[in-house]
Amino acid sequence: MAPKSRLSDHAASRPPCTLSTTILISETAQLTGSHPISIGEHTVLHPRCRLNSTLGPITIGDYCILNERVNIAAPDREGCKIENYVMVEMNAVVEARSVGEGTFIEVGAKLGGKCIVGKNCKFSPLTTVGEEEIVEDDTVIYGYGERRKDMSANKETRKKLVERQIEGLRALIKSDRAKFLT
Amino acid sequence: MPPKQVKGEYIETDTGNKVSRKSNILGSQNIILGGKTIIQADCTIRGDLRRSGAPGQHGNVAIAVGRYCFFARSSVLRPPGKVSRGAFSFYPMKLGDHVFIGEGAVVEAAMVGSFVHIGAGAVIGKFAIIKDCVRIEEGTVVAPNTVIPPFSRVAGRPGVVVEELPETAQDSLELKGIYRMI
Amino acid sequence: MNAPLFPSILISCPCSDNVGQQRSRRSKTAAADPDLDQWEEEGETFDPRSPRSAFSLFPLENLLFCEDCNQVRCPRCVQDEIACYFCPSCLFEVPSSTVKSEGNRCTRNCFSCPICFAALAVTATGEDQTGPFILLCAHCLWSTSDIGITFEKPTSITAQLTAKLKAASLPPSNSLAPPESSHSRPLSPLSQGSSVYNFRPNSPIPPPAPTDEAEFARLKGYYHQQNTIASSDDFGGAGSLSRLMGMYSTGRRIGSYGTGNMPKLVKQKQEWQEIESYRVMDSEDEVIEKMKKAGFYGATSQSQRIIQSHQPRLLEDVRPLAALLRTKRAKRCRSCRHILVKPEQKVGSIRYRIRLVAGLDHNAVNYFSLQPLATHQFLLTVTNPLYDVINITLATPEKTPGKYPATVYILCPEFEVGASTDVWDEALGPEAKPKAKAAKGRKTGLAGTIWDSGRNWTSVILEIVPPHLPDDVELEEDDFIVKVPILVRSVYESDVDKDDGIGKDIKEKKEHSYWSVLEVGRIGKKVAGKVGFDDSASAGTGVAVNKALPPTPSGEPREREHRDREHRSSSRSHRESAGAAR
Repeated sequence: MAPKSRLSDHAASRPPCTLSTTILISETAQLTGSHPISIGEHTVLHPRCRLNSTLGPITIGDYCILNERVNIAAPDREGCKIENYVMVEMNAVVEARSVGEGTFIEVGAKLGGKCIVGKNCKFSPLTTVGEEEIVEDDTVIYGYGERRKDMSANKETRKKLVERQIEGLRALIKSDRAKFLT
Repeated sequence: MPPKQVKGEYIETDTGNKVSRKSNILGSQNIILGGKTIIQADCTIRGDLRRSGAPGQHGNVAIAVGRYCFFARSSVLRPPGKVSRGAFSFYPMKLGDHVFIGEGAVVEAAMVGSFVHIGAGAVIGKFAIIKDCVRIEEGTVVAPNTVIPPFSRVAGRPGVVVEELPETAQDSLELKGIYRMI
Repeated sequence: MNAPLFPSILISCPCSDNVGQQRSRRSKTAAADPDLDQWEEEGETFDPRSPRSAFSLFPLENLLFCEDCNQVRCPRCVQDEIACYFCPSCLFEVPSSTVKSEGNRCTRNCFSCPICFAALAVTATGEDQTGPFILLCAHCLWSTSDIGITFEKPTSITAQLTAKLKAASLPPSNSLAPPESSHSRPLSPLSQGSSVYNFRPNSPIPPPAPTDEAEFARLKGYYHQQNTIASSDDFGGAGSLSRLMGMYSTGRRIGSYGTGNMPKLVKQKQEWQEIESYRVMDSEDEVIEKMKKAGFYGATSQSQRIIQSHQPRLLEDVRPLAALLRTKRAKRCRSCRHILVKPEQKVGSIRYRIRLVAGLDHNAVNYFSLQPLATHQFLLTVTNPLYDVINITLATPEKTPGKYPATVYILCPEFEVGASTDVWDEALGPEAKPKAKAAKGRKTGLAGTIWDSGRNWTSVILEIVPPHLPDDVELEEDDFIVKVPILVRSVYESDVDKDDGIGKDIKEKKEHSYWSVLEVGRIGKKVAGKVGFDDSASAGTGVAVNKALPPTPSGEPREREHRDREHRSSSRSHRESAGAAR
């Protein structure tokens, strides 16, 4: 079920943030927790996307898109690391140890605690990855949890599309980076 | 039957729309509601994701909704976007009359016809086209670019037409009764 | 149809007794009535648990009503007539001539994924939307490039795919090149032979087995030729008929008397060659070896395999599935050929030119569980969509059929339901209101009185005492559900057709009765001392209820635009717990 979005402007403790100057972060995104959160270049955080670093640090790479109502939480002290060009769609929950480059996490998909996800994976809507599971590169999880390997060679095109999407979003989402730097 | 809502939960507009104060509507200037539509709490509508570039023939409308629609709690409506001719752009989303969107459902369709029931937790992919008199069961994942013909019952992940609806579908999918209840 | 929601009503269609032959058995005008009573006297109660019942019970929304036969028509006793064919994906109408020549699949760009069955989209792989193009599944990321197929242009994919598969399917050694005709319809399941991924050993075993595709082409040509001959014949119809009869009789002889008698005659006929010629079983070794190499993730699943016409074992052999066409259909009554439903021709339209449906909305109420041995009261609301007042008689067996019978009691089995007059009549004053009886809304809950009534609806109380289910016996899911068969009999007077202009005031008495099954709910575990279900209420006939019952929402004003001429009983049974009065 969809995570509850509650605006908690000042309630939660504000984590130490390292935000690239080129990121696009909506003012209603929520960064909470006590461990550091760092976000790479050209990454987009949509309104009401939530990052929780209570249990560990969160590192997000370059050219990522974190959509509405996304919930990213570090599973433990070792933290959560999301590589470049990762797309996280609405309602997705990510508690992974690491997510490889170019991975697509679709609407409502759930990556369980401490799982390790390879590069260029795709998680179709509402699919789940169990705790501490290791997902190899190029895995596609679709349907009710069926898996296959994506053998196509258009990984670079996908990255281009993500870049273009970020360009397009720049005109639409007002960034308020200063708000998150205290 | 749900109890009558506490007074003040909804804001009623001139055309009879009832919008929950706890809903999360962005870019309301780009959203058209036909009237008598109910938007429940925690429902997200992304009107801010409008078509980039000069306003088209319909201005900057991102989401157009017909009459007697019902968006249940935590549902998300978001216009679909894609890269076309080298630039990323969102495209307007149109909903007909009597569209029911269940709790926690995520809709990124290009078009949803009239008398459409989208069950709780369903995910409607980008640029899907859903014609009139369609019932989408709970938890269905309709893949992007899918076209659903009239009088269909859709289920599964990815969603496929599993049954034709009887001739009376329109009557059972009508939502005037729900509007009166709230 | 959908997930079970209780309570729900199913109506029995008597057609399983024999469609069209006994049409007058259960419904008739009152004039010719004698055997109805007789039938009732027979005392056969409809048993909702009998295995046959599953075939005759339908939710109200799936039923049509034939005005001429004055009877309910279920999907089995109507006859479908195809109004048009269309592709469910591109929503283009396909002329029936094209369906005949090209097969029942879309010949445009509509394909679905052979892996997950989602729709495939034509996608450019090159920079800036240039070719080559592929068909890509946005759900599981399968694309035609996985089987080594790309397209030069984004249009007429079917033709391109056909050409590519044809090129792949013609190994140089294959001398039996299928003629052009079979490739003009490559996507019809009939012509998709196994020639493309031909696992047959190449060594020619005499006689060389022709490929399915070649065989199909040959037979098709033959029948086409026969057709031409038959139609050119002066006595075309008779000639082809006798020939057909000849074929059938030969066929039967082969079937029933063995093959020994007429081998000579049969062999001369080309059409029987298919049966006569034997096939050498393909060697499976090669396939098994390939499957070994491909492993689990390289093999097709059962559903992936059977949906493909050539039934590939390996994922590398699957092909995109061309969209199957769908139809819009008109429906006729099987016994009187009256048209019941006629959709508009346009594919996208949801309008109907003619629509005689049995009932309209039927709001399901939430699932809840019944307490064993406690009295539960339900409101059974009968709504009348007719323009005439109807008299309803409800009958139900005291004990429901089944291993664990529940006790059922209808407090007021006979009552009247007002006509479905215009909503405005009510507002226009008392004289326009056909039913302004004084006793409206008594809500006494006494036996023999109705609970409440409105313009065109009446509610009565139905009491049910669910049985106590033994704990030590293994029960089937079906045993938990309380199913109450109710015989609904309605009598009403309606105007005789005014075609002749003179029979203006003549009223005809019509009577109609049918069995319906009310699935009330699921029996839960007995909870000792649960508030709200104390058995004290079961003694008095719901005396306690009158304070507790919420006012019944009035029957929805139904719009006249629907020509639903069926009197029907829509039951809005509202949840009601006996003894809820506190």
